[in-house]
Amino acid sequence: MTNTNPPRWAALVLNLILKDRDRESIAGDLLEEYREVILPARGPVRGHLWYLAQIVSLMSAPQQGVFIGLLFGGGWVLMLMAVVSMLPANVYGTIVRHTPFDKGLGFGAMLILFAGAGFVAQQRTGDIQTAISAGAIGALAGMGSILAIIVVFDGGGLRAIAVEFLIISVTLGAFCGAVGGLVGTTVTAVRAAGQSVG
Amino acid sequence: MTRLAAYATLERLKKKRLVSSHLGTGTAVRGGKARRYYSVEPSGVRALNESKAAHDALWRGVALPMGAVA
Repeated sequence: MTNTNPPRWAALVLNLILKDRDRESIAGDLLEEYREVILPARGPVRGHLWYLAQIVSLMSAPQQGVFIGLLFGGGWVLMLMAVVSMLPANVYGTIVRHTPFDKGLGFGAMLILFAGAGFVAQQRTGDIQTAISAGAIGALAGMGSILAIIVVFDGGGLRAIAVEFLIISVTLGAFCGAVGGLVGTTVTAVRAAGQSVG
Repeated sequence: MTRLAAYATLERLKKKRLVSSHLGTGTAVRGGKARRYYSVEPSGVRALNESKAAHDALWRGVALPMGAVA
């Protein structure tokens, strides 16, 4: 069966740029035209491009700048986080079943990513403070990208909690970095002990 | 005319109470999303008539086609 849906991420971007009152009708108009006119005439690849072009045409000029910048430029941290957080959840959901546990799994995977950054930083420098910074910077880069999108595109309530969310994210990143750093310190100590015994 | 221009114009007309709108029910082809229906209000019909009259008045007394200006 042919997939008649536009890319999920594009539909998500569309939801972010539309105001509450337009979310239903404009998204529905686009989807209807995409399925009934564009997809049969142009096929999936050109159809996706059409859908993307329509979304960009609905953006204001600053929104277009940020979107294109994130799409082709500094979005790599965000993409890495998205892959790390979505992959385990999708694999779990596909193999076992879709439950609310998926989201927890994705969140957990993201924390492990920050802790991993702390671990690597500690192993390279031997310094726990660098590990904390690595976790915090990872969270700042990733969450900062998400928040930039929210602040620019969201027409409603998410802006109000954006700063608090960023502070919590960076704190959480720093904490995970510290955990990763402590694991790194322990690994180093155990390795040193093993060498002295040997 | 871009899609954004059409939506923005309809929204402006709505704010001026020249048109009104309501959401219909969602359909499968629209992913269950509702369609917005617009209707022209009596004030909108009046504005349309006045606009047409003003446009006609602009051309009154002008014989078409015009000849070349020397």
